[in-house]
Amino acid sequence: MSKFLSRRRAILGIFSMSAAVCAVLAGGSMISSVSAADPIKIGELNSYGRFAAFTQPYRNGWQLAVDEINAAGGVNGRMLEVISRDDGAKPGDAVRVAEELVSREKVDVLFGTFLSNVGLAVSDYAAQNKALFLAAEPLSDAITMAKGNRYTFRMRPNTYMQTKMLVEQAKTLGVKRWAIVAPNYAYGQSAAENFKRLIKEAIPDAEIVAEQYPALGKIDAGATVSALAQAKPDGVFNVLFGGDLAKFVREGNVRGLFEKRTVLSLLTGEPEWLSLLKDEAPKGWIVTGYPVNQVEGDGHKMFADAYKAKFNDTPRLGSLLGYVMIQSIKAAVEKAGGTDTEKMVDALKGLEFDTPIGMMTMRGDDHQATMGAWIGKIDVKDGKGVMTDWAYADGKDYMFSAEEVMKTRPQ
Amino acid sequence: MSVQLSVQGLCKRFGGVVASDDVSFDLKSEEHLAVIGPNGAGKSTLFKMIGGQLRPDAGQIRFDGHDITKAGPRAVWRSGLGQTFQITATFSSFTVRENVQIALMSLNRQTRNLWAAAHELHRDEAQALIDAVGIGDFAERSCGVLAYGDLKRVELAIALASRPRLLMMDEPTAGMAPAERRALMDLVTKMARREGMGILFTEHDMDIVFGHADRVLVLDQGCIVAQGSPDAVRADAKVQEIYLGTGGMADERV
Amino acid sequence: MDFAFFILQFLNGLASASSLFIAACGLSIIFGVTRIVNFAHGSFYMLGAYFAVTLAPRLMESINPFLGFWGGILAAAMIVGLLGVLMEMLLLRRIYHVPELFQLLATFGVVLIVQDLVVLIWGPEDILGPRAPGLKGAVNILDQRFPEYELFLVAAGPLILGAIWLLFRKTRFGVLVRAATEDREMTDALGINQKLLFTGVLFLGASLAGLAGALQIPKEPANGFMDINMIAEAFVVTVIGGMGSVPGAFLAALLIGELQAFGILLFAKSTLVLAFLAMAVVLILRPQGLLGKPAVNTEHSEFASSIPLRPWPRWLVLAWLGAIVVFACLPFVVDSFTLKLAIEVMVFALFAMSLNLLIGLGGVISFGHAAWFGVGAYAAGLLAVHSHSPMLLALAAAPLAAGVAAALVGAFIARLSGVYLAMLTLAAAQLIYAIAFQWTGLTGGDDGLVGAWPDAWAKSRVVYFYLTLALAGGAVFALRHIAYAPFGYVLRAGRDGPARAEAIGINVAAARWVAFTIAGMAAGLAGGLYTFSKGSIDPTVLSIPTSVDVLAMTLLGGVHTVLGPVFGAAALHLLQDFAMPITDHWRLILGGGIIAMVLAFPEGLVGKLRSWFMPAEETP
Ligand SMILES: Nc1ncnc2c1ncn2[C@@H]1O[C@H](COP(=O)(O)OP(=O)(O)OP(=O)(O)O)[C@@H](O)[C@H]1O
Ligand SMILES: [Mg+2]
Repeated sequence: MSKFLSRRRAILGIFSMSAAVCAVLAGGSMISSVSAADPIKIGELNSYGRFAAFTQPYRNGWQLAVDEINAAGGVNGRMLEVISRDDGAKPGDAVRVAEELVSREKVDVLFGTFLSNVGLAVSDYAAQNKALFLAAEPLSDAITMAKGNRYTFRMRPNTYMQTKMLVEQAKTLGVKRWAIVAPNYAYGQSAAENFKRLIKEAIPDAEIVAEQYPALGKIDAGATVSALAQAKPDGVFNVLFGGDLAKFVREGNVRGLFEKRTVLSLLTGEPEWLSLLKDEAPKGWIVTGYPVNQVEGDGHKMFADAYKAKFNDTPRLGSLLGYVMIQSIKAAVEKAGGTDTEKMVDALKGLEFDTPIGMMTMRGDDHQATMGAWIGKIDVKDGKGVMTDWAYADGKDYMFSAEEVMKTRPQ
Repeated sequence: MSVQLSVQGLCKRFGGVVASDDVSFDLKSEEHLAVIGPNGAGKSTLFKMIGGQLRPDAGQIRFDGHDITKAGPRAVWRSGLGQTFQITATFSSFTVRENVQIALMSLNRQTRNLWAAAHELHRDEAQALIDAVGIGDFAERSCGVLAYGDLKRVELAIALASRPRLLMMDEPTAGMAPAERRALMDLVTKMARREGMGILFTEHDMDIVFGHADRVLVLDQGCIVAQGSPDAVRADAKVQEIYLGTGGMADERV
Repeated sequence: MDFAFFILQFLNGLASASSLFIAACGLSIIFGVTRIVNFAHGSFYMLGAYFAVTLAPRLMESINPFLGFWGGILAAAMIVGLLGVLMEMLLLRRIYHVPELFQLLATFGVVLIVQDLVVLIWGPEDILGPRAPGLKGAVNILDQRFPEYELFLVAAGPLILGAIWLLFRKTRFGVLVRAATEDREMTDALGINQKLLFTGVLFLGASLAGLAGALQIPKEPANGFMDINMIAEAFVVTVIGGMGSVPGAFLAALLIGELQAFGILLFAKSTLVLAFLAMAVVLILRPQGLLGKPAVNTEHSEFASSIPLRPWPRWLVLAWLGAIVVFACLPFVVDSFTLKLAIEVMVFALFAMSLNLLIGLGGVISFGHAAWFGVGAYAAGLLAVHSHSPMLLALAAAPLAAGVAAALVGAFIARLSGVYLAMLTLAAAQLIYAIAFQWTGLTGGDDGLVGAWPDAWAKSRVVYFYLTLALAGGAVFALRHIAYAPFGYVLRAGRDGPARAEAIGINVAAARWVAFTIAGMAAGLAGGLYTFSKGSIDPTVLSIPTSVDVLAMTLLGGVHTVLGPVFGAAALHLLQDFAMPITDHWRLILGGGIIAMVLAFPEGLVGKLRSWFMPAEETP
């Protein structure tokens, strides 16, 4: 092969590779030049791959709401169009996806996310770029408190609210010696901090006699249970969920950790986590959750029936959440009279919107919705865990005080 | 003539194998000394202990009056001892000339230089060295594609680059055709005589040994069994016994 | 701490040590014979649990509870063993002779594929299995209740150790395994038997992993995180014990099991750190592990090459200048999101280039390169968020912090080689990950740091694009320049022939250490640029998948090309950007892609291109 020829081919090679990179980049931007037409474009991102157990029912939930609204003629005559993406369960990926949705797909509003760190990163992106973001599942207080911002709102009751609901139950029991077990990451630690603070407020002479923070998904259940039992607590506050919870419950049952002890547990009553335990669901635990088959009210019945008809499955908490997210967006667009971001933000402050479980408000002070949770005891019926003696705790009674919001939230 | 390399009571064991058993000898400056012995006799082990690749269990090595028993290969090289290995070691992703240039960069303490264009450094000097060992035409070839005999020459050029006062070669001509072997050894010995360089080498080709060594040292199972002039060694009964036992003096092996 | 509790906690430690040992010893056996560090071992473990929760309940119903349960466990182990055989025949067989790094990557590709397959087959929800019939209760030990099943596990570890010992002493297969583990050359001499031996070893190793996973089901629901959770610990155990040593793995499992049982009493929040700290300490004191054999110093790195680096002719320089000018014009033609992608491509290009300084030039396999990227990212993020430093200061601190960290770690690592070195880089990265994850007060834990946006003057995407082009582009060409400088030559010389290099006065370990530091700095700069392009930073940038991503980019570009990694980074990052939105099975694609790459063109994109376009070296 002649030198000359090979050189020309090599130039071609370098150029073709660089050109390919540029073309791919430029080609991507062409797609975007389709201008936003009639429909209201909603960007959605969540950890569908990594946390499918929660996010798939959730996707069904928002899908159901979108279909219902569009069938009824849309919002202000405009159809809803949701563009959904996987957020990779990583903040870095999520920020890129959010940006893609906002700047390329030109969505009017963003919602979703599961993990607290992903939610925080997207919320910060929203503040920087003046995009509207409604956090769905992240529970970290920081999203609406220490790191709150004008463009971020949150639907679910945060860890403070849910912990407060549980502590209220403990107050009447007067249990004083407490042990805490929580996964060692932001959510678990924030719940533990809240518990320490709230239990002292509720029962002044309460003390924390043991704390265990196993790494998320890696609990050494035997050693953790005996370490807790060793401290001889009268009550246990549990923040574990998923696989960690199952391990903890089995070891705790066999080793008698829960006998004659009060156990308060976050999220354990949610069907996502409870169904896993089947007949081994820990009887007598006081939990937050969602007794889906027992919730009364026409709104909820209609929602549950429609869900069953469409997906042939009972709704999970995620399904309800997804459904409510879309309803809140619909209400915000209606109140703002359009999809202008600043107008939507103003509309969302103090927005009242209807949901399958009654009216809710998006509080203006801290951008936290008044969605509540069901508090009840766990029992086993027909080989399945269920909630008994439950009551709905309305979120509005458990929120951070206005002064605390003023103090903590950046202005 | 003064003693350049002095080896005293070197011992080395590998598990149960005694590879070097109380080996002592002197090499005078500018002397050409050959070490012979059957496979596994401990020749390479001896060379590696002198070169600093292996630490002896006991004994002492002095080079030019300095104790180098515990010195590593780098220090040994800096003190003026060049070395080629039984299993040729060159830098396969460099050209022939660059292989020598690297040695020259190291000699001139430029190994931490992040800036200069290495390709240009010491180019002429390197070219002269590869010309001298007869592979000047391959200067731009990659060492990775060279024939074994040529690699041996590259390694020789690398070893010569630091202008050592003693050159130590472990089977320098293995893998070459007989005529080529003689030519190469002629070249090396001539160069050594000219520069006043001592040579310590091993070979399985007895023609090479007896044709190029001033003195021969015979190792067997880690022990020195004979040493002296080529003629004296050739006549030694013990040596003949060893070599007959393993197939004769002309044992050739790659 | 009273005595009864002490005993109980000790028993807890023994039970987890047993589980750990059963899970890890297969990894060690497979490594001993095939020299492959099998990341997919965690996948075998997870599959064992999934098969067991599927089979055991059905068998318990159709036969009887006792036989059904144990039959299900054994069947699961056997099935997984067969899957191991399948992997050996389809994949490993083709990669025994490729460099270790490619093997690591290929088995990691299997991990990614299995993760997606498990979700496809068993669904996303965790599955809780039955408890062991007859072992559901607890026994009283010193007035404390201890589960019978845990007691069974305490016994199971030593039993399996004994069984393996018998197998290795009393059977021909076992003797061959031992011989092959002791002497690498021997396996090559086995000829036709070698294939059989390797297949058999994969069956043994995989079925042990499957057994370990299956034995977990009374304690833990089968779930999609079991593989990664287990593999990290199994590595720790294997490496501490000495790779290839089964008794070593047993000792190490005991150490880790007890360390964790008692560690949680002292450091309730730092359990992740403990295991990796133990591993780092052991490796520094005894690089070959407790009972391992020292690594034989190979004559040359597996990454030695025979392709010289030729100085660029003028036309090639011109071609590159042209390409850069075209790239620099991007802001005039594309939208802001595309510019963001371009920025990320540049960041990853620098990241991949820095890794290639180690792999391509130094022949040093780093499996924890995300550590330096992460340290740089965190340094910049901490300065920006906590002390509101100007961006340029934070960007300057990133390479400095990463360089210092890399120099510290490099001081311990540079003298090692091969798998041990790769494992120590992995340990260092995991340790730094654990610190970032658990030092919540400083780093924000897994929430990370939020709000690290560029200063006002660089807020505009276009300005940040040019800033990145200048800094990352400058660093990329500085790294390229180093390849052609004496230091780059020396580094490569140490890769091609360490013994030869030492014999001409080159301090190979010192050169590697300097390379480690420079690579750390460059990766740190990339990390700093990344932070400000994202506005936030969290521990995932330090995690194993990030290290794998950058390795894949480097290898895709081609380790023996100077600027190949730049193209590898661009190709992979853009592919990911386009594929992720349209598929839920990104891991399947990535995993398959990595395997295909290792099998089909290990010389990489640019390497392939070069062999097409450039005349081959003529052989005399
Ligand atoms: N690293 C080592 N570990 C164990 N044994 C070794 C090692 N190196 C050498 N030996 C043993 O020491 C003895 C001497 O080996 P050496 O290589 O020095 O022999 P030699 O005289 O150079 O042989 P040859 O002519 O084959 O090159 C042999 O029995 C060899 O097996
Ligand atoms: Mg020899």
